Amino acid sequence: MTALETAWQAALAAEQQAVFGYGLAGPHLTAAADVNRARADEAAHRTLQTSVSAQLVAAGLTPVAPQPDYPGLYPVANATAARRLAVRLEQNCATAWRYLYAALAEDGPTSPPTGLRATAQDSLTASAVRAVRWRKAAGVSPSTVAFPGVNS
Amino acid sequence: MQPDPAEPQPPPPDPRSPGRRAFLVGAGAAVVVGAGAGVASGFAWHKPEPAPPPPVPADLVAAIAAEAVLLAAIDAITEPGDATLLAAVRADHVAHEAALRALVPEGSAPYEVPKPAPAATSRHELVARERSASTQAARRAAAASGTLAVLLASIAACEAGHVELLS
Repeated sequence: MTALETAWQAALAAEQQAVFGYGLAGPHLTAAADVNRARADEAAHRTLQTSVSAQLVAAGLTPVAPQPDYPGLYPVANATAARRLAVRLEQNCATAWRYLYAALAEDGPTSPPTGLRATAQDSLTASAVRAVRWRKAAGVSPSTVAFPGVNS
Repeated sequence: MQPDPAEPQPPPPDPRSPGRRAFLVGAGAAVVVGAGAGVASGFAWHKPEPAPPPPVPADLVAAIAAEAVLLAAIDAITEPGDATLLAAVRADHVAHEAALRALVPEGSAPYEVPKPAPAATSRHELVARERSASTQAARRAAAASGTLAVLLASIAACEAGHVELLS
């Protein structure tokens, strides 16, 4: 598997984890703003998961399957933990999309599918923005990070 | 190990005449001096000028300048509101500028980033500048490669987050 394929599959895996994770967080959120945000974000990740899978298939690759469970996301005991989990999910997605962007930005023999770099940028940005919203909701300060997708 | 006295020994060197090694060294030096004189007299004006240092890539200078503009705008804001929030946004731009400057290749020609004139900035204007900067950074990232591209992609994402925070 090439570095690009590995990064592409990792982006899909991060999106799958996000969909699962919002399912865990959702039941603990009670404030209307949180619930609405979680629903919208879960829908965005589900849409992305579907489109990335389709792009991989179109490129002749077999998309990784979602895991049956994600033990690393537990425990989620209350609304505070749920908001913090949402921050983590978005950070993980930002990291995965940045990784794919880096693989695409390397000069190499691979011929990336048209538009994939733009998808990586848009998805990195979208996750960074969602992470800002959830940090703000969770009272995390500062609610912004200088380099989204870079693990500190 | 002591020499075997039964073996014939080479004669001791004559202290009045220079040894073979000294002769060879002397001859070599004479050749070098002669060659040097030839270069000095006949070819000195052919000595190539050292190559000028390469310029810093234009897209990198533009990205550094964009951060300087945002920092100037933050410093000139007329309605700071949440000072902690503004300080966090400013800190991000300081980090961006430092990371971009770190990508300037060693030995590059000196470069100048235009110093933006301080102008009173409203919060609304700052949001617009952050939005525009995010779009520009993503565009520059798409046209770049390697480390600069990835850094700009991340900066674009961060500045989109600033829009969200400041709006």
